[in-house]
Amino acid sequence: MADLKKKVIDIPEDILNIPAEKFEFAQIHNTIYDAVPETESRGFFKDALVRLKKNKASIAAFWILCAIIVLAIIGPSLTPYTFSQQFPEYVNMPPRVPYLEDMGIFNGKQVLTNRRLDSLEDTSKFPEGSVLGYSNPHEVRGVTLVDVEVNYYKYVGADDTYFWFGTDGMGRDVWTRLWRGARVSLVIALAAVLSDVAIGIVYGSVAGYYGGKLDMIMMRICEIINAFPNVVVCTLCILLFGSGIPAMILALMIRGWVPTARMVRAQFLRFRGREYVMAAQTMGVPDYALIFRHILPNSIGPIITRTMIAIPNAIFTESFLAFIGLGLAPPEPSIGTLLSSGQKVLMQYPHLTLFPALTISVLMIAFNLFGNGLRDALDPTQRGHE
Amino acid sequence: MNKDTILSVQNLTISFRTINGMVRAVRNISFDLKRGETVAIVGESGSGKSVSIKAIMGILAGNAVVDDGQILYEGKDLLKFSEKEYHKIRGSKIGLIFQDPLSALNPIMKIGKQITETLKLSHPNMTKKEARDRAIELMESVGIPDAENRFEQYPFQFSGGMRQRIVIAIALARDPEVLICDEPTTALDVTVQAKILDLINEIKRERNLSVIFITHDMGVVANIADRINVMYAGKIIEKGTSEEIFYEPAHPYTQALLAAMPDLETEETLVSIPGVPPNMIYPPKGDAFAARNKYALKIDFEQEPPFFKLSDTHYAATWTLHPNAPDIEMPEVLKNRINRMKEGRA
Amino acid sequence: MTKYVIKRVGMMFLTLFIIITIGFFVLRLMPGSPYSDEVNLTPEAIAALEAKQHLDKPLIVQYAYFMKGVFLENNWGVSITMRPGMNCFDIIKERIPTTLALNVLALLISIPLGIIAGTVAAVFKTKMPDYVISLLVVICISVPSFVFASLLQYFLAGINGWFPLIYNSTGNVQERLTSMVLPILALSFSPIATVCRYLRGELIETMSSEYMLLARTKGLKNYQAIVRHAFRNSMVPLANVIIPMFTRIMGGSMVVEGLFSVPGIGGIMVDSITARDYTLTIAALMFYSFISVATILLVDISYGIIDPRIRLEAKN
Repeated sequence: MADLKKKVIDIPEDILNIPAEKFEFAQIHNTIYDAVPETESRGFFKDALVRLKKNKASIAAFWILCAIIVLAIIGPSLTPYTFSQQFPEYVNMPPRVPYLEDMGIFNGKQVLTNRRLDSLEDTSKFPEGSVLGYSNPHEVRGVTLVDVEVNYYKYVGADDTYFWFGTDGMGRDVWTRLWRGARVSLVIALAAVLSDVAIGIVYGSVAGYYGGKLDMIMMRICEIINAFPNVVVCTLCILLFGSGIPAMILALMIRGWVPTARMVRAQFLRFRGREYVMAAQTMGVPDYALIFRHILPNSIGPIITRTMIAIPNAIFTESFLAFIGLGLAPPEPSIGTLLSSGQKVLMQYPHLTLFPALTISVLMIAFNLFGNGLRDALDPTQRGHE
Repeated sequence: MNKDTILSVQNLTISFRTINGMVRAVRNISFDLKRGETVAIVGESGSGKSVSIKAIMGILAGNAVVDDGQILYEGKDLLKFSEKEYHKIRGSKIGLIFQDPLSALNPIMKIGKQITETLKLSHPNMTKKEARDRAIELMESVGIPDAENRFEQYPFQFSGGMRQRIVIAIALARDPEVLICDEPTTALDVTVQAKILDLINEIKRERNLSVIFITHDMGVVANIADRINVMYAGKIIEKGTSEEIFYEPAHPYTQALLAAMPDLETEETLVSIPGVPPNMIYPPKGDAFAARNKYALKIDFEQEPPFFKLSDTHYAATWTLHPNAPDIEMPEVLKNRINRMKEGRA
Repeated sequence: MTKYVIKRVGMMFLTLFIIITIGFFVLRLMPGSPYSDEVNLTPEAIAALEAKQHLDKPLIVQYAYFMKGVFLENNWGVSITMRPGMNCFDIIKERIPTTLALNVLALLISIPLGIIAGTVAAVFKTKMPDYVISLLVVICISVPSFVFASLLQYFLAGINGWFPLIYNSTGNVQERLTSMVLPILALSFSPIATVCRYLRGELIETMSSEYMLLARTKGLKNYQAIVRHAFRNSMVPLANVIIPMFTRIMGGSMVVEGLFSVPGIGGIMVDSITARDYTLTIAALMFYSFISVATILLVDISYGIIDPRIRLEAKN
């Protein structure tokens, strides 16, 4: 290098004047190692959790889910009514909530059409203070008819009663029934999905681990079951076993386990031939340990993701069945049965449709958002291409 | 700017916005490309070479920010070009060859269509037959046997080397003046690499092309480049003619790169470079290579070295060339090798 | 390729066969005879009716009759309560056009809308339009079609009166089409979102591919590169999303037809369940199975046709 240094020309003055002590070796006695990663090493799930926390929509969805689940658990006991208790005198009451009613919403307001204008003063027909106003006056055979806006609770003489979400056509409290229904729907979905996952893991593991002819036959069976349309399978199942909760769970399960089984099998095929598995095998590790300790843990991420996506699908199917007339037998409510019975009087009493519709929509959106976030967090390679 | 300089990059500085912060990918680099010559840019992955050429082609990713600098092509700054103006340059004046020919070709479009589509951009009135003939001619000129039949095939039916020839044919289809090769041999088998290099050399001579050649492999550069720029951590740390870089490498990183080159003649063990390149979100102060250099000086960690001029063509940014610096010998392996090469030449 | 198709067709028939078999046994294993609810029939009359339907024979013989009827004679069993005595196949047959019109129209408007939305989202990736579209996609995929149906019915038909509340099956073509708008809309939200989400993902992946860069560097304009390369390549897998989507629309259509009183197969299925006319229910299910299995077959075959990599390899 000495000769190279001599070749250097045109060094600017300020550079040339840098003092010599700056040119001492700084680390000649140190060994330079390949850098140790600066960040602390994190486990797979901790890492996933960090990624999940960055996804604000998923976190919001998570808390909404929590809120709905809490309501499904404690909601029915917040009212003095039970889900099957009927109040024949309070039928189709509009929603009314204390405090909120003072703000002009949930105030038990109802429009009664075509009432005689002159009857508004009659306190035997319209009790004191029940009339809020009227509109659309029109003459029919010499009588003026109007649409009267009333406080329905005062109108029926139940001023000190509150049905937060109103009552249905049999005088049952909608709030109580809604959360009871949400609980039933969630339980059905959860039970079905958990059984799916359990069956899928066992089936997929066996097929993927042993492979060969067994795998081929097992996958053919999957293929055939998967070709059954979901609607058909569920309908047949409920026609056969009646519309109780167990039959509903069974209906959701028949086809539900196939995707999990396929996915687990695919994971097994991927990892079965890896060196680390073969190494374990040559050391005499038994089959069950290979399956459960060495191969299956690789599938945990995708299995969790699938579970989260399958739950809203199960809830959807349950309410779908209710809509085509195969819902739970009364009086047990589910979101689906509430929705389909509300739908029949949609134009007259929209609140009967509104609350279950809102609940199922929010529930589905929250599950999907959270599921997507979980998928991205657990499988960084599958991220939504940022 | 010199009259026969066709492309000149000046003080180019590029950063990328990422979740973790701004990544300083390219830091104040300058180099010239003269008509008919081949300039190589050498550096390990992540040193900023590919980013620089993407900037030249105007195809930087959306999160890239050009902080400073100019890219002068025929005296005009490409960085100020609108997409419409760029469109007149891209492909027709400057062509690009990619690293991985498999992913560079559209998998579901026939090879022939991919070439004729390019031809028609320059010659919109070309008939189908003319385009086909011209494409087959092009395919033959890049050494594809049985071009007539190959025209109707899909990329997956081609071998790696043949695919790269197709990519070269596409780049040549519009007769560009400048050809940029982004690691064109990296994804190929060693046996095919030499053939592709020969092909590039040959078409360069025939068409009097100016070539920018990007690689991380010093061995490849030796056969092809007139001048070499060595990049490290987003900066050019040494530039010179091929001869100067190979026989008088001045920067410790250049020396390390050369020492790490496998040598068939001797059975010396390869000298690997310890450590990893710096995190470019926080580029180190001073000489970026210092942390991996056993002979780093105190000043290497304090002040960025300027270019020391070794000749009119040879510059190196390293404090070891300062008169006050201690004399540091280059690695033994490298010294022996250079001596051998010099003897071989003499 | 031919061998592959034959294999797939064989698989399809096997599946259909199993579904119909299960359907048959469900029908027969349900408690009570189909006629036992009929109080104004004498036991002799019931016995006579049952004999006519071979219901007095052993189960296995009934099964043989049933299968023969389904596959050879277009006799899918006789409706009991809704259209007593009528062959279910004929009931289904006359309702196919309405259901198909509804579902095919929903599919036809979903595809272009989904493609446009997906392309916009991909081109403006991680910008405002992308976020808005992504949010809408999550909502449209999550919210069930019958909730959309209720919403549309309440606001657009009930409150505003822009569209009729229920399907108008007796009016002229224009009236019929207007009354179909709401059910079609209700059915379209989810498929639009599905196409959009899928295409966005595909496009973004292709757009970041090297061959898109090559297309740009060889001088194609951005939109040319997107249309000629990215778009075309993304459409290939899209076919495999669109075809099975049809089965899902058909499923949703069951409920939506019921809500809007559309005289289609979905409607008749819901009605037959309410009326406990299970032979008809099973017949409707058989129709759905056929559509579903046929779409699966279509997907399998299209895999082979569209992708040159599969097509040419199969040839060699």
